[in-house]
Amino acid sequence: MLIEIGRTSLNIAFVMAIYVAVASLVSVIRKDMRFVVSARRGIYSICLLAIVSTGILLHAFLTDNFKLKYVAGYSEKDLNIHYKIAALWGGNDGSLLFWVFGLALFTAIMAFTSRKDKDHTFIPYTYIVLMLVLLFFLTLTSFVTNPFDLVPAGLAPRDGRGLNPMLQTPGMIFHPPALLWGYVGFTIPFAFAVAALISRELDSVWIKKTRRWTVFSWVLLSIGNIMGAEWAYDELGWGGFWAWDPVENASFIPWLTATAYLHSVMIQERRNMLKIWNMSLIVITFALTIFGTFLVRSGVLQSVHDFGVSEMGPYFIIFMALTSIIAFGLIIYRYDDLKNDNSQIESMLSREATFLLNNLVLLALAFATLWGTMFPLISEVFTGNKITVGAPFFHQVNTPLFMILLLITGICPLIGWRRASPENLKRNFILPGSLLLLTAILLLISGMRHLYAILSFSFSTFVLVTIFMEYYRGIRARGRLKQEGPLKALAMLFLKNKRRYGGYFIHIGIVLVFIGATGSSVFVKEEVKNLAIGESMKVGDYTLKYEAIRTKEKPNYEAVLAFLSVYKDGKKVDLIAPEKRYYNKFPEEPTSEVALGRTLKEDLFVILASFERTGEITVKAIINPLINWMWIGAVLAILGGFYVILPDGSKKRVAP
Amino acid sequence: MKMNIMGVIFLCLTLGSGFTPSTTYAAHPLQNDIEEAMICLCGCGQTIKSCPHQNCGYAIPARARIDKYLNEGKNKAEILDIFVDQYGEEALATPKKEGFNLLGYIMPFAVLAFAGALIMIIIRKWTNKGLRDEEDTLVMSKKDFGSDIDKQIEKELEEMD
Repeated sequence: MLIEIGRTSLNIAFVMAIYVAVASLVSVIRKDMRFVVSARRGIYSICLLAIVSTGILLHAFLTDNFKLKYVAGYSEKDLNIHYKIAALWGGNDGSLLFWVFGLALFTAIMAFTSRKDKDHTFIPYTYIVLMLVLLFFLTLTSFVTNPFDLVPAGLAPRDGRGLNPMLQTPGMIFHPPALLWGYVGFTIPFAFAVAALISRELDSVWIKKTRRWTVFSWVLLSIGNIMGAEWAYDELGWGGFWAWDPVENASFIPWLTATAYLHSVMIQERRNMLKIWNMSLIVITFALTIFGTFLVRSGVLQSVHDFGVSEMGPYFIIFMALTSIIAFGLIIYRYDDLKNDNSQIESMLSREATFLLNNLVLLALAFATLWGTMFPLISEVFTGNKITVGAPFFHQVNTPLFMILLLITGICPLIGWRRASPENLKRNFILPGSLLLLTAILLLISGMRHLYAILSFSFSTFVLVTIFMEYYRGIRARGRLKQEGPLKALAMLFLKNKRRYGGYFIHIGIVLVFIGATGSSVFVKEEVKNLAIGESMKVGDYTLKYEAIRTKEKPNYEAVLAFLSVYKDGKKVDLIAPEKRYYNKFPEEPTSEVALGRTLKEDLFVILASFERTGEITVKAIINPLINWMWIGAVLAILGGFYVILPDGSKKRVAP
Repeated sequence: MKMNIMGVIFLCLTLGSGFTPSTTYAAHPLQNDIEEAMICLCGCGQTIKSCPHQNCGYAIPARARIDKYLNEGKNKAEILDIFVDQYGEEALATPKKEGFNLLGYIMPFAVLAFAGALIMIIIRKWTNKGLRDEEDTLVMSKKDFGSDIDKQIEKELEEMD
């Protein structure tokens, strides 16, 4: 009965989405707001239906209802309850339903928050675009890959096949939903952009109305990416956090274009420029979210994330092509209206120009990543040769671009809007520029010879100094004008100009990510050794002594643990236990549970590579310097992002 | 349950799978370098060094072969060639910098350079247009307001001094 309700809810939602689209269209044709009100109510009901169907599928997981093909395929009785929840998005059918749920929810929130907005004709068009996107996903979940499909009568298994062991990790509870909803979130600004194009309301209103949605989606995508990196670090057991795998790249590319968009919209809001550019960027970002989904589900490229592969690829590629053609067609159609009339960049030495440069490098990074990801296919088409493009390629191509991006992040705040004078530039650059050079010299003197490491640390210093100078100037100005003490002035800066100073806070986080990534990529130390009980090995400043081997039993897996004492400077500092897990349903896919000794200076990363009946083990021990600064930086950037979208508390506030 | 795990261990040992520890290769300075230069062909898409599969049927024997070749005195290029001869260029983590593959390396920077040049031209065009507009505005203001206004402005400026 419940399953039928879940299935029917999806079908009704499909019909309702058609109704909302039609009602919105009628409201535009007849200029009758009553249809908009009706369409809005339809959107609320779709949201309710999506909640019902998702809730029913979740209930099926929690109650081990293996009559459902999807539940039988991705869960088992002994699965931990939080992984039963995570199994909801662990496979193709459920993740698409989760997408529908997210899009229906976001659309309902958007409709609710814009319910009093009667001044803008683009709202009904926004509903139409959102409903067309929703219809695509509802078509897939209702008719192509329905999560409520049943196993043939009488053939329901007593237990399910279980969740892929690699997905049975805490990170998987948050990583996929954050990514999926990050993707979903960009549908809202995309819909507003297309609606603005159709309705010809091409000023910056649509950008201002979607600002929070854009930042929110960017934050979700950031959480998704960083949790993916954390998952790779903890779960895959090779010691790194980013392998430039096609599926990782699929979520990183839209993040890059979204970051470019977040910066360039500031120019449109401030100077009424770059309308075509911003329209194009949001269309590209939306298209890339669909392309990312295509990459994950098509299996056209080899990936460690092959658990997402399905037959859905062609649907996504066709949908992406159609939406892109229509959106870019509209941009071309409205070219004369979008074309910049009065405003222009007045000087190369202006913040507008550096923002453009920042956009250029971000897009170059997005292109380079996309190009590298697709190059094996391109090469095979043109030469017939099968080649592979792995992580070393991306290190060679992307690292110089990352360095330029980091440098621009520092340069941007030092250059004023419109036109900077040489005196102004000299005054602003002298301190951070000197400290950049000093850092580079000190690193060289200390013996560092790795070019990119020197550049990364020096540029990071430069960016941090420029940001602190910005805070200092703001505090000083408030102190002078408002007679506020430094702490109060700093607090007021954050409160009064969330976007600007919250944005700098995000930049501090990003700089820390650069520092962590550089340290853990360049200065990593690794040792692999066979050990008998009582034997030791050295890695960096640590000595690991193999003490014992034990087994552990859990309801759905068994584990072998090797206990190792950790000594530093002759003192025992820890007892760690890397383990190898054998899941009952996947005995041929053992997973490594890494033992981590975390400090701000470095991680001691220990993997139990293998063991013998004699008790002899092979241990891989890695020192990852500075890596925790990367996680700290990511958390700061995410917190900064959330801070930027907090309500202002004052309706009179003018956009910065 | 303990019997089960011992059963698994026994099975794996008897089948000669990846449980047998046979990987203390990093001692040779080139081992890591070569493992990083080769892609694992098990489908994980990562290098031989980073393959996450514990029982990988490709990465584990490949590491052993690299170790063997290094002990035989072969250099990096010779070892990579052996694998390329056997598996094709697909075995390398990065395409060789020759022929069509060069496009892979050059294209991102070419696009960056092209787009950068384009943006420079556009900005220059805008800045020139801005300067011309400023000049036009000055000419217009003189023409429109005539000498009376000029005199008045000059007078006011003198008074300000």
